[in-house]
Amino acid sequence: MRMAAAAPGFRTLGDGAAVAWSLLLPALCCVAAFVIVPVISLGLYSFWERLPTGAVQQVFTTANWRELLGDSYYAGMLFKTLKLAAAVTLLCALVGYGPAYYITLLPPRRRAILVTLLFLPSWISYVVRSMSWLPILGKEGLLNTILGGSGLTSGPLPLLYNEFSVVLGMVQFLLPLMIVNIYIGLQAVDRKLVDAARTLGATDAQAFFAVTFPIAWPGLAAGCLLTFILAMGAYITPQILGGPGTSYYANLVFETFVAQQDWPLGAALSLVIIFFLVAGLVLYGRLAGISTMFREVRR
Amino acid sequence: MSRRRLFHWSLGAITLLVFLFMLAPALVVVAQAFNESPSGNFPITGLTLRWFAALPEDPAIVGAMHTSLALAAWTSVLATLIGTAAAYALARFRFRGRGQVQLFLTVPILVPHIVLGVGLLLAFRMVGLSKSFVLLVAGHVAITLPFVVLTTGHRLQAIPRQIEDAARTLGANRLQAFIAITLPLALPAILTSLLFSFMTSFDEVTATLFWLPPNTETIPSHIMAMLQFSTDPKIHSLSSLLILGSVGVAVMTVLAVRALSTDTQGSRK
Repeated sequence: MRMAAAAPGFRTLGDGAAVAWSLLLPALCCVAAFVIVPVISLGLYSFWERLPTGAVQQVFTTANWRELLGDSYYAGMLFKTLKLAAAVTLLCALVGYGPAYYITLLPPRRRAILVTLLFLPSWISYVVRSMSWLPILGKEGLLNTILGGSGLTSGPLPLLYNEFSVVLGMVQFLLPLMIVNIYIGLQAVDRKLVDAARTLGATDAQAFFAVTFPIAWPGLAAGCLLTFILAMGAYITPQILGGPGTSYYANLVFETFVAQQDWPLGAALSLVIIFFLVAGLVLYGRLAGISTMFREVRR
Repeated sequence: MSRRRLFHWSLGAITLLVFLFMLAPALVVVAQAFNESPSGNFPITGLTLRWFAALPEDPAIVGAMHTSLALAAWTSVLATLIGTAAAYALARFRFRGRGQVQLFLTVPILVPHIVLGVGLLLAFRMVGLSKSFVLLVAGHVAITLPFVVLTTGHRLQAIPRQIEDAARTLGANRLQAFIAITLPLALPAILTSLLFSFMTSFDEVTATLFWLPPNTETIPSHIMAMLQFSTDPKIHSLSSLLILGSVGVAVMTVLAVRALSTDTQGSRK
């Protein structure tokens, strides 16, 4: 109604809601059909019965959930994956905060270049980024060749197909996302506030912890939520860089669906990830306000 | 050197290392693509182009390339059209439920692809549809749509609606005003959306593995298969082709956006 008041006599908003909803309709249908309905069908399948033949019968049963909650194998796998996701998130936050902060200190031109570089990895294939560690960490890879050639190590180090390489690959994959989110948070900090704190006698460190960090906190929180959820759901990285002992929850989901063809159990397993996503979102909404989740990156 | 300068320098050094960590591994793949030895090991024994020359002779790779390109083209065009319409509605209209709609259209960005993958597969199976190219496109549009809504939405929000209202005051209808005023101003974001959703669709593999129809491969799924079942040296040349392609498209996007960008006063940046 703002325009109607500003320019009386001109019909600018009369057709508003109808036009808006018809423009939104395709997108709403798309999300409803290809995101919401799929999550609902996961819910339905998780309560359906799987016959010994592998076929699914649409008969209500809680057997899948009882198997999931009763078998300590699944709980162990979930716990192991939560630990991995937490470690990856913590590493990304620790490694990423410095660079994100440094970018905000730069003059506009150099800042724009670094922000562009920050987005570059997200244009490069995830599979290729993960497999790029193979020629680096392998027995006769770049690192072992350098280390062996310089005489620092007597034999090749076991760098590949273990927990180390999985964590490394995941941190590389998720770090740009973490840095972008921390950077978005830091953008919200008014430099004048920091200067004011300095004028009033705070040291740089005091000003950072009393002013910058609390104001920029939603960005770090969003980065942690995204990193954690994506690390939980990642199965390509363990598939490429992991070994026999480094199978995680998402690999289990994949195995259950593709190898065992047990769709009802697979559906229940997938819903556990959704549960963590929703719990994370609720927590984030409480701590930072959900509207801060999708803010723009200024270059 | 003052403590502040020392801090600034060491933070810069850390940033450099972190950026190297994120980007440099890709260069190692490119280096291996030229390695004469098919082992993929170091040290590199000699340089050759034959792994690149072998790519178009592999029918599996050519087929996967066709699938991936068609998939990415359909996905990016559909997602950009649908997403831009939605972003325009969200930026230009005030209506009840607007905030919820905005959230509804962006939250899917957070859903891990493995969940989207199995969920959509089950939903299709439930209504009796089998895996097909249409399922692939549908899933990829759902995955890329939030990026379009966010990217285009942020840009549209930055364009003052008064310019559009002025055109309408002067007699243009809503569509004319959109085409003459808003579209050119939003073009950089729309182009970014188009190219980014193209690359995202081309690269998506986590959900795609669940949706692929029988005897169909995309380039990333083919690379996954190559990693599991063989030590085909073409894997490095194919991967570096992807890296160069991605970086090329990203650089082109940045340049095109810069060339097309006008600030809202209408002057070139």
